[in-house]
Amino acid sequence: MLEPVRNLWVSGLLVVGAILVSVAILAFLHQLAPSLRHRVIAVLTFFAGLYFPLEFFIPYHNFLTPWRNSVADFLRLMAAFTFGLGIINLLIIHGRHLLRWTSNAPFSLAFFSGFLLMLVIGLISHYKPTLWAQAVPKEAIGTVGFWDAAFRLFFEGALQSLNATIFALLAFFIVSAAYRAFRIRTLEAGLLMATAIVVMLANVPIGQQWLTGWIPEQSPLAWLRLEKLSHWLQTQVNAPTMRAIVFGLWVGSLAMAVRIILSLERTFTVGGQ
Amino acid sequence: MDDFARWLVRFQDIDRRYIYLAVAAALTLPIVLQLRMPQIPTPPTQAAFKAVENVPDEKVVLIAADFDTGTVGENGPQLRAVLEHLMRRKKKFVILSLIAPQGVTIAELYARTIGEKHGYKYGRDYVNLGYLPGGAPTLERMGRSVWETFPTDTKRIPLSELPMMRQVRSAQDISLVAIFTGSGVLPAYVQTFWAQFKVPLIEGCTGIIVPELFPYMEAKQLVGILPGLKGAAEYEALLQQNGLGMRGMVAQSVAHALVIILILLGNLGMWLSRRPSAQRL
Repeated sequence: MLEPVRNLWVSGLLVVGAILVSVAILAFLHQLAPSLRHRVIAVLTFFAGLYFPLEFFIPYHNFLTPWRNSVADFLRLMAAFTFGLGIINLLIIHGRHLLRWTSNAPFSLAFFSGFLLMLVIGLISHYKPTLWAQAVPKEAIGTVGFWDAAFRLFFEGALQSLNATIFALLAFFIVSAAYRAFRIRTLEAGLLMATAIVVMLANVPIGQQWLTGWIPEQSPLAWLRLEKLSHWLQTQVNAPTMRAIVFGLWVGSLAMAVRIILSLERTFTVGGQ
Repeated sequence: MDDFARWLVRFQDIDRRYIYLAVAAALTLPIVLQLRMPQIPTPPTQAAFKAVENVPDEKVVLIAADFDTGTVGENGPQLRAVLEHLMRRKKKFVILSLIAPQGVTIAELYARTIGEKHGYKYGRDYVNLGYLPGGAPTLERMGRSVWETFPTDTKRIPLSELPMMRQVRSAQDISLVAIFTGSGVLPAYVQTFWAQFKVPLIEGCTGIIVPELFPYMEAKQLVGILPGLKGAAEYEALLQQNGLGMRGMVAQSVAHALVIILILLGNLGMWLSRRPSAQRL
């Protein structure tokens, strides 16, 4: 089993070392002639893409099985790198705005302030929550520590609320769009609207309780209760349709995967040319 | 009569600012006035509730907090309700996220807040393993060995030092996976936890992806669903508590009624404007 590196300096050095090696590999690839670089990428893609199908289809414990853990760890590292890329990209874009003091510079300043504040408070509250704890009177912040309180203020009070607010704006646009788009001009549109109204009403107490709630559960007309109609629509009409769509989607994904493994899908290797 | 019809025709083109104002009023007034509406739990939510009830004491529940602050309005109340249920039954749980680093932070904050009421202690009753990128292969690795996949928790404490984790070594020690998400992350759990390790799954999802989940439920790959905010409200009804789901659902209920009324008015206006008599006016 892998033993965790508990020394911050050692783990920091390991991270820096890993980044340097990665940069060296990328620089090496960059120096190669384009045709050779594409060939290297195609070969790597072919073997990487073949690993999981072969490991799965060759019966029982085969020669590829012992590598499953290493491959899974490698995938985690690859995913982690995308975070780094995202942050670097943001820093470059907003840094450029600040250096040239464009019209977007105030927004970039807001980005850097928020980014640094959240980073510092997040790291301290996570790794050193007792830092300067004695300097803050306990009664001033209640039962939680100062850094924890600060983190909650920025995470729950600011980030979570702002993000939820932006997402909630969709409600306004959706209502406005539904009002304008849902016009019954054809039979299909009429069916769609009738279905939508049944499902929407069944999803809320107004429909469940007040409109059809009076129909007894044991009555022969119980199927007219909105929640039963909605359940029927979702399981007997929607589910088979969704199953067909998802099935088609996965078959399409399989075809795309084969194209990528064989480097027939060239957009990602040659920059879309 | 013609005047009335002409007045109704105007409803086919209501200024969007009035619509926004109506939506704001429909969403805020029920919350401010603290209106109450009863909830009837539907079969998918009842099934999810039953799955949590059936968790044996010696095993843990895996809480997959695969959502971020954007969908916290729906996934938050769902997660709170399920955590409340787990804590009432004194069940232990492990938190992780496959796609959303913020999800584990939100889940731990909830666990800490609700846990204070139930005397839950970090490390003894619940553990946060953190963000687990890498998709299905990494989940599969975790199912085979939790300790090798996560040598430490999010606070860099080795799992061997956390009392609860001494009994959690692989998927065999997990009796239920509860996924909370606004994304299509379910296939990764179906391919690993359900297909390979036979661990049942439940999912609390945003309303928009509910239709995608019914095929999985019909195929018994998903035991139960908490559909959107309604799922949270129904779960709270089963718990007999008035939480965020119940309160939010009243606002959503009024907003749904508003949408239906607006759509009907729009169609009525359009229909009246197309009548030959209206075109002569």
